[in-house]
Amino acid sequence: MQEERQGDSDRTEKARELAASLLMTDSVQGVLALLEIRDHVVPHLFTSREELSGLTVDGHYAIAGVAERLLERWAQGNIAVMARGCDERHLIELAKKGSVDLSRIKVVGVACDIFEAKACHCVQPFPRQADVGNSIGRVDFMDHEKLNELVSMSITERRSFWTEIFSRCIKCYGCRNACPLCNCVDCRLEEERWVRVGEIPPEYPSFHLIRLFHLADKCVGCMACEKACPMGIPVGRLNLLVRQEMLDWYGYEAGREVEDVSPLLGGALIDVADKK
Amino acid sequence: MLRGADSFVPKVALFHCRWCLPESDAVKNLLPEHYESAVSTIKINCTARMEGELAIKAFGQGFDGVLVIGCEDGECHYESGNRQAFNRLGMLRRMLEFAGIYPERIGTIWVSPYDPASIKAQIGEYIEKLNGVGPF
Amino acid sequence: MGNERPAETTGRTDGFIGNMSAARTKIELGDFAQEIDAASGLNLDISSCFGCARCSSVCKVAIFGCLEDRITPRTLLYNAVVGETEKLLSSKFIWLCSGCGRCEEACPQGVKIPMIVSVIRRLSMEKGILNPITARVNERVCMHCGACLTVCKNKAITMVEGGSRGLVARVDPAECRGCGACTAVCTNAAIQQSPLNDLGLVEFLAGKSGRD
Repeated sequence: MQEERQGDSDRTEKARELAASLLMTDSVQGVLALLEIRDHVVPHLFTSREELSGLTVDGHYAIAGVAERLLERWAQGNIAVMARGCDERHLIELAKKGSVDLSRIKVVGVACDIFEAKACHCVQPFPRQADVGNSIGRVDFMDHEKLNELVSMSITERRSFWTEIFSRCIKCYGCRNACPLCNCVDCRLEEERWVRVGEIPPEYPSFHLIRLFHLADKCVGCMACEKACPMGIPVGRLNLLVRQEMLDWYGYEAGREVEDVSPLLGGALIDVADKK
Repeated sequence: MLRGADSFVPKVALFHCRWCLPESDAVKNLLPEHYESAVSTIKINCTARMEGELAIKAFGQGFDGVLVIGCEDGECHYESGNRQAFNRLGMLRRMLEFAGIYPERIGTIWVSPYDPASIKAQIGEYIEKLNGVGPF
Repeated sequence: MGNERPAETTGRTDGFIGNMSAARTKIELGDFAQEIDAASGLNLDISSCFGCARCSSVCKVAIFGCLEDRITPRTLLYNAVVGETEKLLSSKFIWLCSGCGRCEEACPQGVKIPMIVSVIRRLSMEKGILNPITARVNERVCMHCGACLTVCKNKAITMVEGGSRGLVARVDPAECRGCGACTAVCTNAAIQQSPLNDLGLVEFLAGKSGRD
């Protein structure tokens, strides 16, 4: 569900204009962006000007996963992608893994406004280049109430918080499915030896923490996982804390540059615990 | 005293590299008294083999702590396997802390095979800390 | 070639040094040693070893490997010179050696022991012996993300064409030293080090095995 805000129409107009001009060139097969249908947004590959009246940049959808699958289906051809900051970071992380060929993607950057940034507890609500919308710059981690709350809790408080919350999990795999970076063939969370079939809620803390660990150096903070959860489990928040930790201790941010190598794959020896 | 106030004996999954502790049997002699039955040991080629998933799964399987014993910095048989484990497990500890799990549950000690007294002392320290945080 | 000793030995239980000096003057390098030289493409000059055993004194495999056949860098060179082919090809030493190079560093004669071990490994594989601790890739599942390549210190892993997604990682068992780092970083569990694969370790945690 999107909140109605003033000034959005300007952003949407700009986006449609850019999409229209891209469609006039031969450089892309189509523009991957969001289509408004009733009150929802769905990812859509716009290939003609007539369709553009339905294009919107409001609404949140982790579109990088769709871009990956599109490029996989077509051996050749380029697409433009209307990408928010997080979408662009996804594309960079996917390119690091070799899942996406960035030379086939033309990014049209969409900057988020402060409301969108707050809704996602986002610290980096902008792409490298804001073609649509105006970048508000970085938002301090501690300015996000919910994150602040978590950090201020004692360890035992956090333990009760997460134990209760994870007990709601129905193992729908929504969080995993919504995440563009969770694209493993044979996901470990579906293997009996790690997560038993038919057990609801899944074994604590295996299911969620294994996913958290795998994403420690990959998560870009899009919050698609949290939005996907039908049980209201704020999984994304935990990922954001870990993402901030990676930045604080290693100066590493997932989705910054394709050449960056995760510190968890080697590199300098840093004892995270020592840096208290 | 290495026993908790309520005589809690923590269940520990102990992973040791084969170059700093070549014999799993010898590990039993390095454990504090009465802890032999509580500790399950397994020998791995290098601490680099330690995946975060293993430690997380250990907790799910009823262990209260995971202890990883590897070679001192500069002594890794595979050059830098111990460093990888060091960084990875360090990050894992912080992550667990965010989820409300005491970082003391993951122990990492880096030892020389020529100094069993030091190994024994460090294992003892780890178990004492683990006692302090109680059962998982 | 049998374990013949020349007439004059020093009388010590380990008549090694005596044998080696005799070997240099009286016995030509056996076929196996020449094979090693030829296979490496270098003149490794194994015979320059005079048996000081400094190499063995710094070798982790020799000291901590708990090998039944007790092969050490020094005895490896000896066996190579006298042509005890079978012993070397079937030893575990060659697979546990990580190529760390401490032996070569310690050697006053600069004998290139790690390279000799590498060559013996290849010769062994040519004869059908498999690396018992190598990692292997499940090509159906590999996402060619490259994480295993990044962590492999022995450069045993390369990206090749194949698998269900065009590219896959592939392990060269001649180079793999069995450290398991690749297995630890693969989120997919596509690459698995043997015998410490994830099934074995998870079973250990489940209490099904008390393996050493």
